[in-house]
Amino acid sequence: MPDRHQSAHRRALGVPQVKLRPGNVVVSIGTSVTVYGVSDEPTADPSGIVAGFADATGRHLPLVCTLNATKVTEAVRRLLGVDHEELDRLALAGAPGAGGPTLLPYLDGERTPDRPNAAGVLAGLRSDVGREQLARAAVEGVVCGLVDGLDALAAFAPTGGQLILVGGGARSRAYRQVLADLSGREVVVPTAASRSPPVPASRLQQPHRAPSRPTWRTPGTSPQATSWSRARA
Amino acid sequence: MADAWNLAAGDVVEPGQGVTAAADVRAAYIALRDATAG
Repeated sequence: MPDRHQSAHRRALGVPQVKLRPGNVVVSIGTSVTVYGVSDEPTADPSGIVAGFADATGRHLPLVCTLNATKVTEAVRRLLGVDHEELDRLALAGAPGAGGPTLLPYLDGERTPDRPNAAGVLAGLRSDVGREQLARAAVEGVVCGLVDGLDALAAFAPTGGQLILVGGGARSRAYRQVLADLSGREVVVPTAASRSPPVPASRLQQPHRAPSRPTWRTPGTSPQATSWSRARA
Repeated sequence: MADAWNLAAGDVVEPGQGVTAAADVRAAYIALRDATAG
């Protein structure tokens, strides 16, 4: 595929380019979380935790999504009446483990695990609870969910390489550090290598500019899909 | 919007003191998650 076409489509879709090597895992923290890697094999997860996508190179993109991320820390920030910088400071000042409180961050229902009607749960409160503990518990709750996703992803893609943190949450010092701490891994926060204006929609509608697609293996050819088909039979 | 990410020029964050409590933090989360299931 001509590189200019790849670039145009990527920008139109809002997807930055990165040479994702097998083993590297991208963690995108925004309102929700996505955790994904690359694999030569198609993904077919009977549990539904890991979703299968194709990447633009002909490989596959197993992906885990959780629904509650910065919306959780935003809610706690609002309750504490602080700005983002102060929330970071409080979370990093709190003892790891938050000195007791644990936040299950399923505020608006959750997809992973599958609990569409769930709400958040704050457990382990004592009378000496402080703002630092609450801030830390919020960040830890979100990161625990995505580390669960990282564990699930390992069955469908190599995950031992770099942990690449992107999205709005990547600007948070607390998210960066707590992710490194709870995963026990080095976290890389990439910089933007280049920026371009959006691609005009008219350019994407010109058939002669449409790029050719790579050939992906279909899930029906994977061992997981075979197992899935047998289970459904 | 970013067109491309530069990993080599990015910030690197190493696990810190919190790594010692990581197992306890995850265990507390998993216990609460499982206790509220179904």
